[in-house]
Formats: sequence, C-alpha cells, structure tokens
Amino acid sequence: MLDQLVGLSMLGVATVVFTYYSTWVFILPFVNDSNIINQFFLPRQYAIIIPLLLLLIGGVGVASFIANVMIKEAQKKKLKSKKD
Amino acid sequence: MTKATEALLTVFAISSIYFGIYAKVIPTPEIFYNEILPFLPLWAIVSLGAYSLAVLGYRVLTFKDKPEKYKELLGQIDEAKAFYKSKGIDLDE
Repeated sequence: MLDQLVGLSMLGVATVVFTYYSTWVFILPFVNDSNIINQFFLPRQYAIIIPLLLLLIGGVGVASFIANVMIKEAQKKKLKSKKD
Repeated sequence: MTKATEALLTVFAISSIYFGIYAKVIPTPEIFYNEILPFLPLWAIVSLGAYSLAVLGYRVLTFKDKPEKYKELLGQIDEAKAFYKSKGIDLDE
C-alpha cells in the first residue's frame, strides 16, 4: 500500500514539474503582460537559475555519496589489515 | 552499431540542428530565437528527468508483488553468498 502511494506521488510530481516547466518555457513568451496566468509563474530568469541550482546540488550530493563510500571502504580495509 | 554509438549520433544530430538555428544559418522567427531557443537545452534535461521519474513511479505503482517470489529471492541471495564464501572471496556485510 505504501509503495503504491510512493509510486503514485513520484508520477504526480513528475507530471506537475513537466507541465509547469513546459508552460513556463513555451507558452509564457506569447501571453500579454495583462493576462492573469502570469501571476502563477516566477520571472523567466528563474527558469534557468532553478534547474541549474538543482543540478548543482544533485551533483554535490552524488559526489559526497561516492566520497562517503570510498572513505568507509578505506576504513574497513585499514581495520581488516590491523586485525590480521 | 552499439547503443552508445547510436545515442551519441542522436545527440550529435540534434545539437547540430540547435547550433544551426543558434548561428542563424537556419532562419527562425525573432520571438522564437530570443525567448525560447536559450531555454531548450535545459528544458530537454528537465523533461528527461521528469520522464525518468514518471517511468519509475509508474513501475513502482504497477508492481505485482508475490510473497513466495520474495522468499525465493532471499534464498538465491544466501546461496550466492555461500558460493562466494566457498570460493574464498569475502563479501563485506
């Protein structure tokens, strides 16, 4: 039951992100400034800043995970050689 | 042709079209060039991420779980661990 909820929420988040970003990039340049749809969207510079920032944070996360695993492995190796 | 070569060829073809439009070799409307073209690569990455997340979510949602298959998998894991231990390779736990 819980994993189905997780799967459904992943699907929902992905759909929302895709539609929001596509509207932001493709549709917003063509609407007037007086249209009310503009109030749902941030200024267009953020359409570049936010994904790049998220990519950077994701990259840092991946790199720190790899570094963590390597450190743990080195520690285990040192412990093993000290035990022998 | 390997999958990697095929993927590289696709990426190369699409980016050559993109650079053709960017360098104004292929003429496009002004509003398209100014407002949409700079966002296209980043939009491609974002939609690739969204697509991957959606496929994963859908597969998690429609996963048909069976308890005996779970026990069978656990048994296979133990069997593999015993096999490796018998051969002398120590798997960290």
